[in-house]
Amino acid sequence: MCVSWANLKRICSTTPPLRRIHESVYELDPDARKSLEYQRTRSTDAIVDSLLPIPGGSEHLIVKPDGRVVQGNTRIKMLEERGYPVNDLPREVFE
Amino acid sequence: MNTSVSNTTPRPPLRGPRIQYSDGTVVTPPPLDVEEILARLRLQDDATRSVFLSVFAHSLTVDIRAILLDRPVSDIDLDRVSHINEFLHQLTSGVNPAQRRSGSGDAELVGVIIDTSYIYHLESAVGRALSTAAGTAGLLCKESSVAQGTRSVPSDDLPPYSDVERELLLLLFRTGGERFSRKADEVYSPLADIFGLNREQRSRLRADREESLWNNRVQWARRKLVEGGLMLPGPRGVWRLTESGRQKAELMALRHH
Repeated sequence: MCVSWANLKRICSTTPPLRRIHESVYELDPDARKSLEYQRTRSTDAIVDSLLPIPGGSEHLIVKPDGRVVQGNTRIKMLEERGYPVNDLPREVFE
Repeated sequence: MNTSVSNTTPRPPLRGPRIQYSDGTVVTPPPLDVEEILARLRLQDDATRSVFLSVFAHSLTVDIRAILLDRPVSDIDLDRVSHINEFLHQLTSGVNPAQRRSGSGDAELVGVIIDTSYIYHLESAVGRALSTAAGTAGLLCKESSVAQGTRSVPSDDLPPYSDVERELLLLLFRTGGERFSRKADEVYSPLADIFGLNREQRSRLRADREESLWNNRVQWARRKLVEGGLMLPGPRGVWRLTESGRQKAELMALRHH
């Protein structure tokens, strides 16, 4: 069986997959819906950049040790919808 | 800055966030130079200091969100939330235009929050907030840039080609998705962030033509990687690692951490 590099990387990865924490909020909360609509207008690369832990990027991806997303839920949702491999993104693990 | 706590108890240094990569490697940043950051904060204009305080406060809300995710919440964690809320109360009051302080006043406020964080074991939260706010406001000094997993700008102002090549390779490896690929136009800015370049360094033009010196340096780095077989020569506008480039980047990433 041929295993692609991407799949092998995922199989061997030691980080748990990301889990978004508030799916229903987009139906209940107008602010969350606005945020979702805004993220839809952004390019995939712009969203990815905003999640990276670099100076000047104030809202990088933060997750619990089990993969629950503490910061970046809406952006991760967008990337998932576009098929981006979100589990490969660097993350801060909140302990 | 109130140093009464530090005078009596050895304090662990504040640090920025620890970052985990998908291969499992974890980067623990070196200590933040708190005094240097506060000294720089004092010298900033009102708008920059307001940005700093706002980002500092926003980062602290992340801690409350994370604490409240797991129910029921213990009394200890509720106390932590309460103390963080006090920090937020002071910080958000501080950005109210009617309550604005001087540079020294803002630095003193942040200094007091740092001191207090040690009393309530909130130094991890405050370290992240300080690092994030300082990064956003452009206050990170040389050591702190490294703390963010970045490299400082050498004395010749812009980073040398070899450093740009290495970081370009790593950027495509880490953020290029399944194909290790990014649009060319969207590589320059993240790379400049990695090196902590300021606005002038990013927008500086070449002497001989109306072209960004930084973009030109990145393009040369890319050309050398193509010539070395580490990046594909096309398609136009898309920068992508070859399999050799992917393997080299993976080894570099492991060594780097």
